[in-house]
Amino acid sequence: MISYRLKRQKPAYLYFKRTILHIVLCIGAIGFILPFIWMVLSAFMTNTEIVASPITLFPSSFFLGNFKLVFEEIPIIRSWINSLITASTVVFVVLFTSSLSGFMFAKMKFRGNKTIFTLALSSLLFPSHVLLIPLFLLVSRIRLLDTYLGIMLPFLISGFGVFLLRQFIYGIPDSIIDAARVDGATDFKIYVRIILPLVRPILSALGILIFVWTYDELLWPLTVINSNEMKTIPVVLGHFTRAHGQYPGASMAAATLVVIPIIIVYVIFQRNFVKGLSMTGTKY
Amino acid sequence: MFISFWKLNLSSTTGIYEKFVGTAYYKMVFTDPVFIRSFINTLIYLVVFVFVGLVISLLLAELIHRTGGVMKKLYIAMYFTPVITAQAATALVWKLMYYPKVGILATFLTAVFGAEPQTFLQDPKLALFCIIALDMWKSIGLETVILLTGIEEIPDTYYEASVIDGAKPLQQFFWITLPLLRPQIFFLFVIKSIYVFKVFTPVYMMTTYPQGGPMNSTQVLALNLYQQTFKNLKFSYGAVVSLVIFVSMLFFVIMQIRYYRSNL
Repeated sequence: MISYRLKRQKPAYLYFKRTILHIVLCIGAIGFILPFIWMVLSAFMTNTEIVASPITLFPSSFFLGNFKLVFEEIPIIRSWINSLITASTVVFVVLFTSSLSGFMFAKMKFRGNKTIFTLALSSLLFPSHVLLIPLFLLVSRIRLLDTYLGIMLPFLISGFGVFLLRQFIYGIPDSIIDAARVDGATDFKIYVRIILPLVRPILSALGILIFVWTYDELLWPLTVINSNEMKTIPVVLGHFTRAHGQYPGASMAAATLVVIPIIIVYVIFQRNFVKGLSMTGTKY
Repeated sequence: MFISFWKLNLSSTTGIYEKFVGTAYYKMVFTDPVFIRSFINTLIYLVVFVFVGLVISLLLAELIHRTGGVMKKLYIAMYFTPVITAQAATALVWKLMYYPKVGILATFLTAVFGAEPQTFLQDPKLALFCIIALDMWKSIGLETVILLTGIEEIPDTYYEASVIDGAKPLQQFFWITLPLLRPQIFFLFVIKSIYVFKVFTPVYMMTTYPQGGPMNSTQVLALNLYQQTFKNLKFSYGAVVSLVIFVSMLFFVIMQIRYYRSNL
């Protein structure tokens, strides 16, 4: 879409301006993805090659020693599985709870609706960082330290998600729901057949965000996990670099392995993502 | 629901409620130079991260808005990539890029600007800004996409009217685009500010043990909370720090609520 202001200008001037525009944006964009390319490339470099001066961008040969070191030193497969189990469970639970309660808050009339919604919203005030100590005491008291449930517990309900879905479902016209009700649909059927399909883009955006956030969470798993088998990816990564900081190539290999699952998830859900995301911004 | 916990925690020594000590812990925390340092650092983080980040992403959004077709999609995808990666991993990559003296960034800066080779993360003056730069790189994509959709929703008629009134592009930007983007900008401002008080991962991953160095120059509130509570096992100290984080966030949340009130 070319905006109106450009249409009014003289063609030659316009082309010149556009070229500059593209050059600036290109440089910026390359700057933005360069660290990634470099990460992947240097994962295949030997350690001396990475810090050699002059800097080389491309590995001279595909050196696989870094990956070997990572697989030997840390239980990366196991922590991958840990991370994936916790993150995907959190995503599904959050999507379910927030769409269901969003539907309830937006479309059902009952006493105390507003009050409960305000209460749910106020959970936004208490992110897990602020609640770190009481949550830790709680989780240790109910013996959930070192378990999947313990890792997931603070993230299972997201005030952000509830708020987002409520605002969005609020915008769905009542007449659709009334029509369904006339046709004899129960509330749950309305939720499954009408609400869910309509909010799919926003759900996929929320899903990806929640996945990345949970997968990325470092502080909370760091506090609740003790045993090596239960460590999630960021925790393992932290310990790994502490122990092998002198091998930059290996950390890059580990970082590459860490990013792969997120990229896969992103590619799967990416179709609706930007669309849903833009709704996130405008619904506020 | 948890507020009661604070009081109990604060008045105890190790989380098992021993005895009431009143405000002794508050005094201890507020006179601790490490805490003061971490608070100041968080404020610096807030100002630089939020404002510079917003300006850059506004600029990017406006520029991307002027392109079209395939290139536009490509730009969005490229600027968006950092958002969908793990903070822990990107922190490692940047740490390596900041490799002192001979690292890729040091070499680049020397080659292009002729600057002295820097030690980046080992330099107490620079370390915090290095971490902020990483965080900005990671979050700008999201901000840009949100602002971009905001810009695209502004009806063309406003611009047409302003052209008839003889407005220049820069004037259009400041008098039409910016005011109409206010909801998005405000939303981002609040979300980012709240986020800043939770910053933990990049600092933890990028600084070597003990984290927050060199000389506490990158110490931030969340890190201080973690170290005091779970490394030094001073639960009460940690509780005071988390109370400080909470109050600071509350400030921004109240701002947000008041804004929505006035707009509804």
